[in-house]
Amino acid sequence: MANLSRDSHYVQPWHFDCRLSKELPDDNPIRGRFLASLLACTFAAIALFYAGMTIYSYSILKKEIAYWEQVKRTNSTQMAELQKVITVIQSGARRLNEIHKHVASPLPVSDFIQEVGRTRPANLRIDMVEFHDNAAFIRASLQESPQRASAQLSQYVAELRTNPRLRPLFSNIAQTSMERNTKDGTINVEITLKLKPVTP
Amino acid sequence: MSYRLRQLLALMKEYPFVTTCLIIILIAGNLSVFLNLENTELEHVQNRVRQEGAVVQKTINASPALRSDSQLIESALKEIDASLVTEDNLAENYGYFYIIEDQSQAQMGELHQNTAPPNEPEAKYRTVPLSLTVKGTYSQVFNFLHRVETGSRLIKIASFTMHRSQPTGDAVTLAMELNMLAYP
Repeated sequence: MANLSRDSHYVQPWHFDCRLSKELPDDNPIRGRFLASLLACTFAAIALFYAGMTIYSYSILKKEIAYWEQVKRTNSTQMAELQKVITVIQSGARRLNEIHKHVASPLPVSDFIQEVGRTRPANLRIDMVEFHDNAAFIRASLQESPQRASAQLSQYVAELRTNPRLRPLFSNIAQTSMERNTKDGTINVEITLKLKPVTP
Repeated sequence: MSYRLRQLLALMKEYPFVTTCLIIILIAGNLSVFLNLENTELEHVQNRVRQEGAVVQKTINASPALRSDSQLIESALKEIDASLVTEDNLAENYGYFYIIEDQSQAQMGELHQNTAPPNEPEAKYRTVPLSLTVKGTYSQVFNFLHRVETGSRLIKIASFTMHRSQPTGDAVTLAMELNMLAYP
């Protein structure tokens, strides 16, 4: 506090203040006018810019619409002609689908029989090949001891599973029966091949 | 003239620049609002015409492929129509298999045309079921089967059984259930 009272001595003006403050014009209105003009000018510029952008978008949209309308107009004759072609294709595709539903065979039978005959082991005698209810059955006999017959058959089934012509047709290939024929000592076997569902 | 209006006019006279700016803001604002509403409408229209135009361009570009597809489908359907059978025409339906019998030299046993299932409404095709048996050597029967599958008539083999005719020898018997594509 002692310091403050001592320093207050230096705060005094160093010369006499001769201004007639009450008679001087007020400078606040000038400052206010300038600020108002600045603000108004800024907002006007923003408003003009925004309006300009909107007009620009409007013109771009109009141009683009005109372009696509022009594309449609110039190609309208060709499109009408192509529409007829498309109708022909659609009705044709419907008919072909119907035909496919009626006669598409899930199994190319002659190819299947040929492939089974071609790949069979030499000592495997095929007695019957059957196809019904989306499954094919191969019934065969082997003139071998049960152990050798079992091993040979497992190998044959594995070969059928990996066969490039049969693999795309069947979802499952498995040996479903194996029994000894007491009359002639042969081993009778059955292999079942389940077809994959047909898709158009 | 009211006091307030006079005051406003006085202010406008006093601040002409600010007044001009305010008028510009007012006009630009109204214009922006109006055009924004217009643009929203135009954007919908533009999306629609652009999609339609793109479809047109895509279709025009694909026109050679479309034309060739259409010709391909038409010729395929003509070929199929030429191969169709009529359910009532038994002689022709059986005759087709007798021709194959001659060509393959296999011996045909039974040949029956079974009752066709009822027509589906608006169906353009139907199938005529047949059952037959063939005997002969393996190669003759296989030849018969191959000709049935790849012949001029559209046939689906619904089921078949191929077995040895006797325990020994080369003779085999084939029994088949077929579906022939026919006129409705």
